[in-house]
Amino acid sequence: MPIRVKLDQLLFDRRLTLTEVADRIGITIANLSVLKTNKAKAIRFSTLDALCRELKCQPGEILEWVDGESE
Amino acid sequence: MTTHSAVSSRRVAAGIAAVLSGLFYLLAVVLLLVLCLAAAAPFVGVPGGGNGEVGIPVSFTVDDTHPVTSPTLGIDNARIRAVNGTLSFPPRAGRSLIALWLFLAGAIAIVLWVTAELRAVLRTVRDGQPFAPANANRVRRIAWIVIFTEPVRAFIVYSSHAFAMRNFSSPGLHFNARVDFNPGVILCGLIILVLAEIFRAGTQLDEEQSLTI
Repeated sequence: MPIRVKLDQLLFDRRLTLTEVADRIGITIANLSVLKTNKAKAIRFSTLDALCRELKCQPGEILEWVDGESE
Repeated sequence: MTTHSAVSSRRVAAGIAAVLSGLFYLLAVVLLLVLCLAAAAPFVGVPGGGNGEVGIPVSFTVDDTHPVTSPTLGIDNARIRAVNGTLSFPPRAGRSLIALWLFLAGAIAIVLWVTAELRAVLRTVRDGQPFAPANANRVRRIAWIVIFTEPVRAFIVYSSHAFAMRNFSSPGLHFNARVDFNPGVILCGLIILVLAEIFRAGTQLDEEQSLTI
């Protein structure tokens, strides 16, 4: 998938764990893990909104487009 | 889907699953019985002793010496052109009887297998995961079974007609061998095949949906 989720880097920078973020934004750890490991096929705007609000960042800081990585 | 309709559909699925389970176990017992009879056929013949009979499908025409009239409709020259029926006769113990039992066992086994596949599909529906990837393959296999059993059935019926034509006779009746092929069954199989493809598309949509966070 050419779109990569840089959640692991953001969590590291803010010293947060996956469990804490999952609890705060109201999605399961399993689903957040799917997102973090780039296995997700799509992300809802509501989820993106919740992540940006909690991590205090812009969508562009969470998502990154990488040329050449196709399915 | 609302909670009420979801619960209702699961109850319907559970009800159908119960019927299929009953049918499955009944067919399994019957299959076992038929296999035992096939194994014992060389020694004991048909259950019921000398009064036992087997029936095979036959096709025949009737001589014009059997006029058909209808006084109420004012018709006095109707004719019976082709008749399909069942010829019953006491079989001789031996290979022909074993073949009949094995043929019956084969037919029951196919229905048993289809029932098992349907049970597996309904189990996933009852568990709330109808778009399991295996279900598309199960429905597709059922479709192919439906499609291929019709020509096989037609061949067996034709063979039975030919057997009766060669070995039996009756005054006024002329046995013949006709191809009794029902294209409607093929159409049903094709419909099930289309449903299998819809199922497969649903599986892909479900997978994408489950990976949408």
